[in-house]
Amino acid sequence: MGVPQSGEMAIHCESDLIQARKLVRELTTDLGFGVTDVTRIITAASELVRNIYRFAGAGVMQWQVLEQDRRVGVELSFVDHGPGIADVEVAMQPGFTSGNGMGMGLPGIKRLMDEMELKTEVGKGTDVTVRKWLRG
Amino acid sequence: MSKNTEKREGKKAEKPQSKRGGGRATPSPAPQAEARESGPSQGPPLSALFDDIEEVVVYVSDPETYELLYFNDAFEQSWGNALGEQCYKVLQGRDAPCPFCSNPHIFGENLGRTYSWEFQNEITRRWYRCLDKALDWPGGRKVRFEMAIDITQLKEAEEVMRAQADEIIELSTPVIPIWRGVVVAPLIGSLDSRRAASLAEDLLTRVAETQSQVVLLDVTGLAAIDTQVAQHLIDTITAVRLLGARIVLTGMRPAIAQTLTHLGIDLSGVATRSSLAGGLQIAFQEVGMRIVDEKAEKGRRA
Amino acid sequence: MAAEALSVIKVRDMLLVTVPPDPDDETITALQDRVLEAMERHAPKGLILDITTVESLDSFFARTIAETTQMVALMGGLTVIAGMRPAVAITTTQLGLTLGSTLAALDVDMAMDLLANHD
Repeated sequence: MGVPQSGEMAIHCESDLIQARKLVRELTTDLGFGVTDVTRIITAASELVRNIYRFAGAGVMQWQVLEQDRRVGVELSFVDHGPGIADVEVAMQPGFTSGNGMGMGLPGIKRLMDEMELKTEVGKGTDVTVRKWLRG
Repeated sequence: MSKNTEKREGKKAEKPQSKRGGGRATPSPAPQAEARESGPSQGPPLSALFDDIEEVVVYVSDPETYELLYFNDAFEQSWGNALGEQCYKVLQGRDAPCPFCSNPHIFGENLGRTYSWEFQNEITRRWYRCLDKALDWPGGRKVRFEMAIDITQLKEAEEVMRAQADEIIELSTPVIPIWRGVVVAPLIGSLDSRRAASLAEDLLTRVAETQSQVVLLDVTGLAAIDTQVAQHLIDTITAVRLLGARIVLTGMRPAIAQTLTHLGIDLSGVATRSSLAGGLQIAFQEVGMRIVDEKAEKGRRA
Repeated sequence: MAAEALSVIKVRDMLLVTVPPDPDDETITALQDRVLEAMERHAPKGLILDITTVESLDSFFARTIAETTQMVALMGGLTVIAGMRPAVAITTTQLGLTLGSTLAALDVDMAMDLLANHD
C-alpha cells in the first residue's frame, strides 16, 4: 500500500516515465485490477507521459482512486502547458495512430481505458483524463 | 411474514367479535343479516373455510356483472375492502374486464373444470398461481371462484437461476486442449464487448499455459456477426499471433461468410474452414502430424 | 535496468537477447545498436528477442522492434519475438500497435525451431 489514494508527480524527462509506470503498476495492483487491466492502464499512462515530455516538455500526472456507486476505479490526468492539439476530431479518429505530435495514439489509449476526456487549446496546453473501473 | 401476522392479530384483538376482512357475500334476495352464512349453496360457508388463511387469496365474483361477492382477509390486505366493486377495477386497476379474463375457461362448455394459471398482479407486483372454478351460488347463479397462491419467491428464485445460467452461457468460452499444441474454443451465443474481452483473456492465457501453437476458434454456435463482433475476432486473432500461435476459424456458416463479406471485413491471412474437421487437418499439419484414413489406405493397396 | 546490463548472446547461428522487464527508452535504443553490431560480426540466421518478462510494451518499444526487424532483414536475418505475455499481447493489439514483419513464438525453444526450419 505504498501509493496514496491521490497525488501528482512532475514529468520532465524520460526517466520520469519509468517512475510513472512503477507508480501506476503499484496503485492499480493494490486496488485489485487483474493483470490485463493493469497492463492496459500502465501502457496508456506510458503513452500519455511520453506525449508530455516529447511534445510539451513538461507537465504533471495526477492520480486518484475513485469510489462511486459501490464501484472502485482509478483516474489519471495528464496535464501540460504545451502546444495543444489543433484538430481534436482528427486526433480522435480511429486509425490516427501514426501521426506525429501531441495527441498521437489517443484513439488506441481510449480503447484501453473505460473513459477518456480531452481538454486542449492550441498554445495553452492539454489535459487528458482517463478512467478505468474494476469489473464487478 | 411474521410482521404481517402480528399486524393481523392486533387487528383481530381490537374487534374480536366481528370477523372483519372477509367480504360478506350478499346474494340479492338474502337480507344483510344472513349474508354471513351465505356462500355456495351446498357445504360450509366460504368465510368459515378461507377467512383466516393467510397464504392464499380467495375471492368470488359474478361473471356477468364482475361484482366481488366474497373475499378473504388475505385479499383485503392487498386490495382493500371492495365488496360489490368490479373485480377488474379492484384487482387490476382497469376500466373494463381484463382481456385475459379466465372466465371462458370455467364457464360455458368448460363448466365444472378447474383452470390453473400464473400471472403477475399489476397492483401488488407479485406473482400468483391461480386456481379458478365455477361455483353454485344461492339464487341459482354460477359464480367465479378463485384461489391464488403467492409464488413470487419461487419466481424470483427461478429468475435468478435463469440469469445465472445465461451468464454462464454468455460469459465463459471453454478452451479445450485436444492435442499437444492444439486447443479448441467453441464460441456460443452472442459476443458483446465485455464477453469478447474475457474471451481474449481466457484464450490467450490458456494458449500460453498449454504452449499451444494452434487455436481452432469454432464459430458454428455464434448467433450473429456484425462489424463490432468481427473487430473483436480480428483483435483476438492478432493478439494470438503476437504470442506465437495461430488461429484457424472453423464452422464458418454461409450466413456468417456472407455477412463478413457484405461488411467488407477482410479475413484474408486468417485460415478459415467450414468444418471443425477441416480446421483439425490444418492444426495437425502445423504440429507435424498427419491424419491417415486406414480403411481408405487398405482399400487402395488391395 | 541500465543499458549496460543488456547481453546479446550468440547461440549457434542465432542471436539471443533477453529483454529486461521494464526497459527504459535508453535501454531499448541500446538494444537496437548492440543487435546490429552483433549482426555485422556474426552474420547469424536470425535474432530472438526473449520478451517473457516484459510487463508492458508501448508505442516506442513496438516501433523499435518493428524497425529492428527491418534492419536485421536488410542484413540477412529474421527476427522472432518469444514469450509475449497474454496481457501484453491484448494491450498491444487494442492500442493498435503492430510489430511489422516480426515473427512470434511461444517461447525461446520454439523460436529456435522456427529459425532453424526457415530457409
